[in-house]
Amino acid sequence: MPKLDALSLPPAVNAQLWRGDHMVRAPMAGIPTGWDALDAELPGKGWPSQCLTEVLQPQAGTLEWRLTGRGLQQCPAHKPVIALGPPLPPHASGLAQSGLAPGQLVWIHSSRPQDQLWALEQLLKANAAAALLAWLPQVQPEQIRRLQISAQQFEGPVFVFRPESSQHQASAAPLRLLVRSSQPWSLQLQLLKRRGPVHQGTLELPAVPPSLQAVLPARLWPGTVPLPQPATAAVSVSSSNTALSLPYHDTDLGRPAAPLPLPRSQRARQSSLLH
Amino acid sequence: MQGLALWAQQFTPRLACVPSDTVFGDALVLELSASERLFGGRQPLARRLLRESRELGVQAISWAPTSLAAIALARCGIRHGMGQPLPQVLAPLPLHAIDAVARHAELLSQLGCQSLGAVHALPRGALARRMDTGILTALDQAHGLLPDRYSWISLPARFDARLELPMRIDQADALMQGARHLLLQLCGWLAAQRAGVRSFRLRWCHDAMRSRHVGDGGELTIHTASTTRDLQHLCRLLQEHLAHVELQAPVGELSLHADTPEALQERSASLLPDKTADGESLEQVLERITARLGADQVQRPLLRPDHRPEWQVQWLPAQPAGKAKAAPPAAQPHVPLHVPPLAQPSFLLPTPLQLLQDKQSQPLYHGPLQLLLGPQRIEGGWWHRSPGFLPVSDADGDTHIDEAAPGSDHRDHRNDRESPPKPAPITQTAHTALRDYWVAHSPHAGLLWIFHTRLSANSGAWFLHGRFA
Repeated sequence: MPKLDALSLPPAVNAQLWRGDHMVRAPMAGIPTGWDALDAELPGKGWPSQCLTEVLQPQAGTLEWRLTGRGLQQCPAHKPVIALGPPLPPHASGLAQSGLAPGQLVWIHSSRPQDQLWALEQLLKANAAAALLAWLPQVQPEQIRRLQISAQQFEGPVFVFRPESSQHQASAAPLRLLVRSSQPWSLQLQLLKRRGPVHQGTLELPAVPPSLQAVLPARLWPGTVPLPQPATAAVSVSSSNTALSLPYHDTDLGRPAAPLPLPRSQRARQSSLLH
Repeated sequence: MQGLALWAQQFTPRLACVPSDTVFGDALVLELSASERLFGGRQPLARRLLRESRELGVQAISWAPTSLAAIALARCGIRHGMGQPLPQVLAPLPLHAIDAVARHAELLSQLGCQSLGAVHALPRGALARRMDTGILTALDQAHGLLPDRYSWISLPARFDARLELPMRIDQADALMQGARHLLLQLCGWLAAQRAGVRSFRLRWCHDAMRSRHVGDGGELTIHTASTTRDLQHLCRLLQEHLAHVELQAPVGELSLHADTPEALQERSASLLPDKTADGESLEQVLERITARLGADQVQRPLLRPDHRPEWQVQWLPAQPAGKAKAAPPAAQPHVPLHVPPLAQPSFLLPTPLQLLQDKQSQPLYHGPLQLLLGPQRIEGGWWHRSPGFLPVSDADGDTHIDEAAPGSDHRDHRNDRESPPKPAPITQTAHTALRDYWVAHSPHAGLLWIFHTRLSANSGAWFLHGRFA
């Protein structure tokens, strides 16, 4: 295939041309995600509007509000954020601590997948909400395609949360992310698909739940000190024997707060000693 | 004709019914010259009239400077009579186009007059002498030389329209087409008063050929969240409600009633294209979703001052039905937020899930859990006895968070040894709560909010209560 020379094309054509190794210019500026490292990798420098953002995760209900919360705070406050079919009831007071006002939240829960899809399509067409978060574990590729067409009228981010297993299915969503939270205070994010060059590797995003930020002691902050290693076996055994199954309470946040689970080898040895 | 007049009221208050005993039937005349500007000019007004009148079953529609000329043109199938001077427009029309001329059509055709132009050219004195003066008056009125006299149709105070369906209908969904007719008339009636509606009632009458135990008919009352006269919205809302209706017998007739029009704040049209006004409003779309899914599935939260997490949030229907507008979303920002002092998760399990424990009484959930932060003690709710009773806000002072020294736990246990065993864990968690909350992490399940509580004097249990998602 002959290589296209940028200089040989008229400027009007050249401006419309998208090369596979360049980031596409988004028609609308995105909503900042809250992480500069992620913004830099997304076309439009943030969560895109007018298209679906597909978030794949190993288990539903583990990281959604941490991932989207910083972006939702940038959304216009007079429009609501609609949570459609979350796996658990959202806790409005916890979300209020994260900066999402209770008056801004609408919770739609329906057991039937087709009702959820219908409601999502109506909401997309109405273009009346600031952002949509939809949990669609059973959605089919052709339904995603239809939603993506409807989403082109919606001026705001639309997140569709799906299980990790749909990673290998084709999807019409222009942005697909695979997010895990195997570490307590951070998210591991892979960009599976974007309107731009292929992204390799994993982004490590520090994500402490905003409600915990005020109470998190310095020793637990990500990046400063590694997480405390499990306490010694002697402490664990003594506390579990004496404290009548209540954990060892300690309000001094400078010290280890709790007996942490033992490594597997130690626990095995301990149980064999007890019997 | 009555329904048509209701619909046409929105365009002008000057409308009249012109009865006719000829084959053409009655006509409705509207004086629109004063309304052109309101509806965006002559062309948009004409397009809208054509579109909606076709839906309502109007056979012909034409425009002319005078009402009789317009009727004459409509009878001849000519739509547009505004471009040329009236005598030129009227001259080629046949005699039956104007009623007063048609009465003498036989005599006039024997005189050799085949068109209105020929009649108009006859000497006026002879014409008045040989026929009655009505023919001259009608011709002058058609040419705009004499004023028309009509008694204008007045606006009824209540909307009450009937429609006989062209066929018997078995399916509730299929009523929609007839109902759309009636809604179109309702919107016209509302527009004439610059008003909107909050509720309307659709009745259907069953066919006479029905089984004995089926009643006369049924009815459906529909409340909207806000005052509206948006035809598309009312149609979609009615459609959602009709989808739940099962007809007992075929339906032959529909009627629509609306009692109380309410003043409607109208938005002025914008010069520049306004992109935000394109879609439906949030209220409208939530209303339709509520109509399909049910009021308990579309909810907004209301925070309450309580330390127990399950009593902090009360979920209310996002669209309160009928007149009761209990929690308008616009009013909520003024209410001070009762954000609890304790860190709260973002998902809360409806009922706490009891976790397995390992040999050291440590919680297990998708493998061992790492306890990161805690304990935070919540103790309260002892005043909260009966199920369904919501705590009043001044009882809040009784609750306290006890971040006590480790020794206090042991004292509690000694006291509990003498006390009778506690009730089952679920009723206890619903009302009185004495729990130590921890933030725990599992590589598979993420950040969890778990609590430890006593089930009896000397056994405790771990429960999963929320997730920091």
